[in-house]
Amino acid sequence: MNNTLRNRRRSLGAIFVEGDIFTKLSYVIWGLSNIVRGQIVKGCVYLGIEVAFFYYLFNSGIMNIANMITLGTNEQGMYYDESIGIYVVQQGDNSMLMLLYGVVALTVIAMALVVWVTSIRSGELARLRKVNGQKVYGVADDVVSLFDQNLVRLFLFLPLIGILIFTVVPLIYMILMAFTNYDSDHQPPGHLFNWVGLTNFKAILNTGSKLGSTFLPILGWTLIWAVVACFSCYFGGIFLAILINSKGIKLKKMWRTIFVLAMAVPAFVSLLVVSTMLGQNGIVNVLLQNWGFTSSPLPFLTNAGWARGTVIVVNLWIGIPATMLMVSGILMNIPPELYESASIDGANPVQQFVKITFPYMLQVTTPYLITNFISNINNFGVIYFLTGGAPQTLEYYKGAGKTDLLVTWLYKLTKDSNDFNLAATIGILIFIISATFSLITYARAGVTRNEEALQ
Amino acid sequence: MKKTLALLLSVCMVIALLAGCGSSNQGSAPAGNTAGAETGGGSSAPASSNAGEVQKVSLKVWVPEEEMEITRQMADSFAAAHPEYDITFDISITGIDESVNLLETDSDTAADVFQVPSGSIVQVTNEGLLLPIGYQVDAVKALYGDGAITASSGEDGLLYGIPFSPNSFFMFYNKSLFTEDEVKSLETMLAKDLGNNANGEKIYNFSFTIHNSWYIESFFYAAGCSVFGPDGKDPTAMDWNNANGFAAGKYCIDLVNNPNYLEDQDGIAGAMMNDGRLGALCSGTWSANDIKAALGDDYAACALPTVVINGTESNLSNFADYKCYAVKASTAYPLAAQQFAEWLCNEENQKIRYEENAVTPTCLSLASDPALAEDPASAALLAQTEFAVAQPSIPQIGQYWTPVEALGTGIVHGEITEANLQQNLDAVVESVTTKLVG
Repeated sequence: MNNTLRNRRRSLGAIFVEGDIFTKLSYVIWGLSNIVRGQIVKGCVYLGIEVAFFYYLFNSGIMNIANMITLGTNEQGMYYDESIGIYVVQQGDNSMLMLLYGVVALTVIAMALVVWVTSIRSGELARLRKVNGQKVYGVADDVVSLFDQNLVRLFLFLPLIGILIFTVVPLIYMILMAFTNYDSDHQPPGHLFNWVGLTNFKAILNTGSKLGSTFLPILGWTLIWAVVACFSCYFGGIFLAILINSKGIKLKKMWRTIFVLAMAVPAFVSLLVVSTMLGQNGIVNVLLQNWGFTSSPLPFLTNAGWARGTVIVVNLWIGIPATMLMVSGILMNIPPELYESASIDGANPVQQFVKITFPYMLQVTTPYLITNFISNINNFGVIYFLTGGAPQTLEYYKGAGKTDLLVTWLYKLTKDSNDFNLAATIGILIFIISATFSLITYARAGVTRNEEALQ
Repeated sequence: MKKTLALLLSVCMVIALLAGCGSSNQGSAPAGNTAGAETGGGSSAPASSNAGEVQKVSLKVWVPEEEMEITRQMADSFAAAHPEYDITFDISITGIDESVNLLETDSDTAADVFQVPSGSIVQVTNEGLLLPIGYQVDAVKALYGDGAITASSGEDGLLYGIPFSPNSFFMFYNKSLFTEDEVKSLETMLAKDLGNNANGEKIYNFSFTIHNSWYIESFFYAAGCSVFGPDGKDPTAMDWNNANGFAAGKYCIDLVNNPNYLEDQDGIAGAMMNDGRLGALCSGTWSANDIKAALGDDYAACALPTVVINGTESNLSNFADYKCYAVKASTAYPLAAQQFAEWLCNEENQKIRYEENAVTPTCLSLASDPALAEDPASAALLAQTEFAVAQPSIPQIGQYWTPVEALGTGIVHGEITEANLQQNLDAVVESVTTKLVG
């Protein structure tokens, strides 16, 4: 069956031309070709799907798509009903639901197209098998094959549907929101919102506008944070791993366990606790003042510069144990003869590290570094639970603070000010940035991987 | 054997999953049989209803936990008073702080009658989620003061919530540290030297929350400034950067630098009050119980003091806030829901609420009740309500909170000084009055 399948990768046009009258008709009546060749059940299933699809299309599909284009025309209204003496609300159009149903309709049409193409190809397969005198598969054979050669299709079917419904459709829905004016002034059901094209993108990226003067500094801080957080944890982890691994340290396992315990405490619990400890009246400031080191509380979380430093330092607590574990494993893989021969040649520990350990480490952990950098761009937890994006400043708009990353600002836009279109726009921009960085770094890493490492 | 075991475990897992799927908002009423409360109504009237046919009504109500019991009683009395309805009540617990969020998330499953703070009314109305109260609205309005009605009305002047309790903040003070006359003026309070307590630690005179944009406006309104114009309806008008605003800002900066002043961060004011190290702090009825426990016999409360800004003495004037009952716009029974909301806020039920839960009433007839004057918190709250100003009821108010919070935080942490105060005030005005996109 696979042989004939591979030969059948012809275009739909070719199939149409070369098929007989039933094949041509099956472009309109799905499953006809199957039925005529003897695959009654399969053909009826295709036909049933076609009927259901067209029923949906004419019942609500076309209306949903039209509504999605206009996003509603009747605003919710209200009139005073004299007879009872109260106001009665007239339901208007709900733009949000119209957008959602439109996206669902588009998805259904896409899935129907897939079924249509499948029906044509399966009809053609049946026709060719009949023409060649081979046995045409009946429904029993198909079901058996689902558990045999085509097991993969059976297992993948439900997850695929799940991803389609719960990931792809919401994703498209929210991407489309970025092209509307669905903000705090245009909230359904009281107001309608409409398509505005690229206005949001222009407003955010325009350096002269207020949003632009907020977005660009936040973007800058996000990138700086990602770089510093990634590399500080990386080198910190390497340093710690080498330290523990070096000769003369007893109880290596105990030390490693202690540092791994830091990972066992859920990150957001430890972050909230540290946030309280570092407050103006928190325990760290109280102790420092009592011991006489300072006379007034230190602005750990309230001064912009201090807050950024604090966030980076506290992130070491979160990030180093993970790196340390991974690096420990890699360190143990480096053949010790290299070190011995190096020390015979007179290399001191620093030179050994730079020439032997580090290049090997870097080559092995490059993918990890790339992933860590990209994930730090979106490191919501550390920033939000430690500072909440504070300190607030008058230089930024829409609730952004001095330690906000793009992703925490996005969250504030959604939760506090109901500006879904701005949030969606920022989300798309974050994706573009992350994707660009990923592609660039993976391409460069792929090039260097061809060189011989360890010289 | 293994198969049956696997099957059994899967079934247990599914049951555990489904058990967790129950609604988390259902009332945890001790009376198990009415868990979440389905109070059968109406058929207390004899079956021969004389006023036409009986309408079947089903109302979903959200109340805070401490009001569950009395709300059930009020529901029963409502059903008895309205034999033309056959009402089924579904009363569940949702606090006033969560109801707006839940309503915005899914208004179809939201309650028909619920509590909202009056400050949120403009935002929720803008989203089209509240039904205006129209049934006998003039009679309803006559029950409460003008301030309460203005605070509960939307941008179009219609009443969207029925205020049943004021919620502004006032001042609690320690009777052993300040006399009743001294707490009338902030200057007097700050000038008094309270010395140290028994452990030799400094006693602070006054605590406020300047870094919170719901508190800091008291100084600016006292100086004569306003947000969005004198009637709060002009989204392009904010005068905090004029001479009065500058004076108010300078007053705040001097206040923060005053050694007798304590900024209330991380709950430090409550802790200090407990240790006897604080003379007065500003909060609302939500803290009354804790402060009463901390101060015991020295517990006292009064309206906010007067301040002298730019030579003029005036009362600190905060935003008037009220707790209101509101009706959702998509309710299936608009008339019954409104009547029930009005019922919950009428005079006798406010009295019940006050007696059971010490919730200060708003009814004008009750405000002069001598029993109220005996509770320091209620008396102080009602006294402060006279100086409070209505929060602007236009949607632009959503832009007010964050820039002003940034102003307050900057003042508290010393980044905003007299030198850069004017430009910061200009930045605040620009942020608050701006429309960012389109």
